[in-house]
Amino acid sequence: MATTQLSNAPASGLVRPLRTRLEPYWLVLPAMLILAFFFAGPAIYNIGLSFQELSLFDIGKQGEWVGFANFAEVLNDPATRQALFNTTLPLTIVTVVIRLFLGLGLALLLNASVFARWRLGWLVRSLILVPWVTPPVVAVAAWKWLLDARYGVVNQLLVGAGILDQGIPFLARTSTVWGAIETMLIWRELPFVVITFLAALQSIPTDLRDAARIDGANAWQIQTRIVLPLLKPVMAVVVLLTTIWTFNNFVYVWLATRGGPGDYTHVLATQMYTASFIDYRMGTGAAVGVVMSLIMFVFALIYFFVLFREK
Amino acid sequence: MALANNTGLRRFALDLFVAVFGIMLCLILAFPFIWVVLISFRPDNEIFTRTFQLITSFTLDNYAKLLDGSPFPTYLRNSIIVCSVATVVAVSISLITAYGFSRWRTFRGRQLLLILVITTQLFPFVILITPLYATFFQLGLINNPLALVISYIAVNLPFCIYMLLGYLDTIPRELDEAARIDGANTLQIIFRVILPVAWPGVVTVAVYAFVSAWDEFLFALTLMTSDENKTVPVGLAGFFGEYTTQWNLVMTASVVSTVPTLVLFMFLQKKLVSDLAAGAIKQ
Amino acid sequence: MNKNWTRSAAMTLLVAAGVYSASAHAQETVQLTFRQFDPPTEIEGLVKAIDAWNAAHPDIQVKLETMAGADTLAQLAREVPAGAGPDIQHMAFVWTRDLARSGLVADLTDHIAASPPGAGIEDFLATDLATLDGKVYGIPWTSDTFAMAYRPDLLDAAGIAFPETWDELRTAAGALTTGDGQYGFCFPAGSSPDSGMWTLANYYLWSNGSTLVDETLPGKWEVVVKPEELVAAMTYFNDFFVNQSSPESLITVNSWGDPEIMGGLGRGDCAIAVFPPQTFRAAEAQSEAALMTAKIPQGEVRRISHLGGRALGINPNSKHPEEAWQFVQYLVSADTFATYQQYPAQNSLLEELQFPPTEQGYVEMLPLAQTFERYISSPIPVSTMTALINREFGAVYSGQRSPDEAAQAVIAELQDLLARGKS
Repeated sequence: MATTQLSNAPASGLVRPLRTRLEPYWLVLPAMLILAFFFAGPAIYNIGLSFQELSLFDIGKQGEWVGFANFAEVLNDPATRQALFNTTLPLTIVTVVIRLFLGLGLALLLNASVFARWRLGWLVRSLILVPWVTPPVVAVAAWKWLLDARYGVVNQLLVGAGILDQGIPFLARTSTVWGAIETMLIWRELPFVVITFLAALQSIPTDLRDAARIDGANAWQIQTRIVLPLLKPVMAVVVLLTTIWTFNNFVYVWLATRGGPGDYTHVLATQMYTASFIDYRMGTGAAVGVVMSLIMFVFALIYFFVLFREK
Repeated sequence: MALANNTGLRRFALDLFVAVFGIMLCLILAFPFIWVVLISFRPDNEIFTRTFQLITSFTLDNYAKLLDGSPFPTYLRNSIIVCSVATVVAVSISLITAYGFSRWRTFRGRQLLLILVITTQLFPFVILITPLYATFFQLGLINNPLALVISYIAVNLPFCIYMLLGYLDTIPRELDEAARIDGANTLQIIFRVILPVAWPGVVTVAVYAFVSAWDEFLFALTLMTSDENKTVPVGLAGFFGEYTTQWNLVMTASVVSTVPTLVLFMFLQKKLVSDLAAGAIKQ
Repeated sequence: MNKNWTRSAAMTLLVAAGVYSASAHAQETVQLTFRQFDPPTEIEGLVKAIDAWNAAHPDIQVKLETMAGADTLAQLAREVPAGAGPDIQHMAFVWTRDLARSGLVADLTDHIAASPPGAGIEDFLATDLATLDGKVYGIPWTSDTFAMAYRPDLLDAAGIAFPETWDELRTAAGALTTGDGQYGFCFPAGSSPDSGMWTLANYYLWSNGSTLVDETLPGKWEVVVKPEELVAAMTYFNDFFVNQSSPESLITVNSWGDPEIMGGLGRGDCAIAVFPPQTFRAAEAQSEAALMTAKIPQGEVRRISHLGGRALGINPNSKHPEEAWQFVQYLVSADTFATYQQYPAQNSLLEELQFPPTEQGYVEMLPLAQTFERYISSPIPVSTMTALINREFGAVYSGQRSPDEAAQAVIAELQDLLARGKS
């Protein structure tokens, strides 16, 4: 109980030995130093770059300082608004929500005691991991072929079953292209959510559930009143991180469509890449990056405020 | 007796349904990869077929080409070494850090530090890599696997800290107290008391750290330019040319590179299952 | 597990010892690094040539490094200012001037004067692309142009001779489309910044007497393409999808070597395609029937393709520029091309070369090919122009914009880009 008292009773801080008071700092120090070494300089460099005009070929040199010109250009470009919408809704919100629900459902299903009793736990947990260990470039290529209008298994089965007369080129049509990208992203990233929840479920003591069952709670009540609240801390972290990662994600859209057909699926991350490495305008690319970081920073702050303040 | 039998039967039927349904779902999820495996046994001109065929002609040529006379086995070895070291270090440091954040909830700067940790995730890597190249060059670490190890530790720390914090918060403090009264110091508590209890979470975090390092491309490409230091994703990218791409080799390489992660996970899981069983006995 | 760790630790020590002993000999042996960006399957002949060099020159050892093409530029821009990078760099023709302008490749003029490469620098193709302010920064190494590729058996079966003009190609593609999976014409119509569409769009524009931008007066650049010319080009290629003589799935295909096109020809799912030589050879290797090449179709004004290729540059940081130059001379020599199956970028070597009969299309197009010099000299980066054209053509194919709207968008953006100038 001593730790709890120490942390919960600031009055006793006066009599605590200095060593104990400093202990949390010592514990977190190594990680903070590594993070500072790795991220602080580059992040400042990135912010600096966003106020300069600098060609990719001259990144070893100092660019010309242009104030907020890059930001003005980026924010006035209608393509940025379109990309912001694409990044927020079809790329991030849709896929995070679907992953959360599918991941939770699958984790609860795979946590069923039958898998442990029949010694199948290793099988399902390994199978579920397979999409995640597939390198993204291969995952997207495989999906592109599965979804191909003529040679793809999905269309061959749909045509074979008489549902379609002719295969649909999912990635070539504006009506289906986002669905196809979302499928690829969710497919590959879902296992992360499942195994994270599964691990949390496995650390819930079984006696909690047994006690509830004895008290007459049914299965649904046990899941919603006992299990879900205990999953909340892990769920909070998963939502925060998957949102940030997906918002900043570049590979799925880039590998699947390169922002096409036309500019229909461009997201902020592909805009940033295009500005920096196709147009060779590092300052503009950095400005897009800073705008993205700011949006996610505000999101993270609000998220912290809402979720972690109550503790 | 008849009633008991009936309940037993019903329970068995439910078990069977859940097991079959779960395995079916997992198989459907795994199907695209199973398809990749099948392609890896096809010759290049049979990647596409006009009708649905699981197996066309069968060949081991792709595996022979990949494992014999190509530098791919070297890439594989490099990836395994770099990712394993980075994972072990990242998870250990994160566990210590997460313990600090979890057990001391009011120290000055705690909230700020937690927000700073998440801030590191906000910046896109494609822009960070340029100054990082310069830093590692000044340290003389270009083409040195240590640079990749450091990068993968740093990249994985924020996630690992946050995730372990989530898991540690659910572990009752009474455990720590008992050990502290027995005279254990903080590091002993973390690695002897907390680690075994938090093992499912630690495994998840370790697998995450390993997979994300395993798939990482940009740092590996930029920091390791000579052939003998390259990792799997960079080797994979080498199969993509401006004018031709050897898709069957890409598929074969990804099958070969997926196996170590799956094996690692199965290995860790065994430990997971046995530890949980041990915990159950103690209770 | 333990054993493995011990073994890898031992290996690390051995490697370290090896490096140490190698550096002890550094005084007599020069180590050069040569970085190239083609995939391993395309450079087997090059590896042989380098092995031969290393065997013949114990004092100048060359190490080959491969880096995927798209990342090479950014990597050089990071490395060279830091004082690092490979001694010899493989470059696309279109990169040389940009790299030279920022000091990322060395001026080779003195080397050329002191010891001319091959049969003299005048013998090389596309030296204009390697020259900036009268100084030469790259040695053209390999050259390529594109040609049409087709299945003679399918054309014979339909009773069609190979189309001579763009209009004939459209008609022929219609006749070669059978409705049971065989399409007349396959081309990469994707919207990617590196999609092959750019090449075809320019062939069509150039052959009909148009071009995107031009230097109308010395130093004055203008958008010269007319909206109706762009509309005509967009409509022409879109018609293949409208008439269904090209499969709609090509709207997402960016690469010449995509299995949909390269394999499509081999499977008989495509009757006609367009390929660079490397892709054609790979397509031939996996085709079920014989393939042939032919000339790019003629427009109203002329018949034209582009002259592309790779050049070699030397890193200004190289500690051994003399030896690097010797190696560059070896790479452009007939010895290298004896094993490295590429078209040399030198007139004298091209004349000696025996082309296989199936590659006649390339032989006929090479003299008609024109470099991207005009675009490279313009204030707009070629990669930006490429991305713009591919994006707007893709917007037409996918129905996001009409050809009129897309053509307006192209012209407006080109004008913006010219106004902004090259930064």
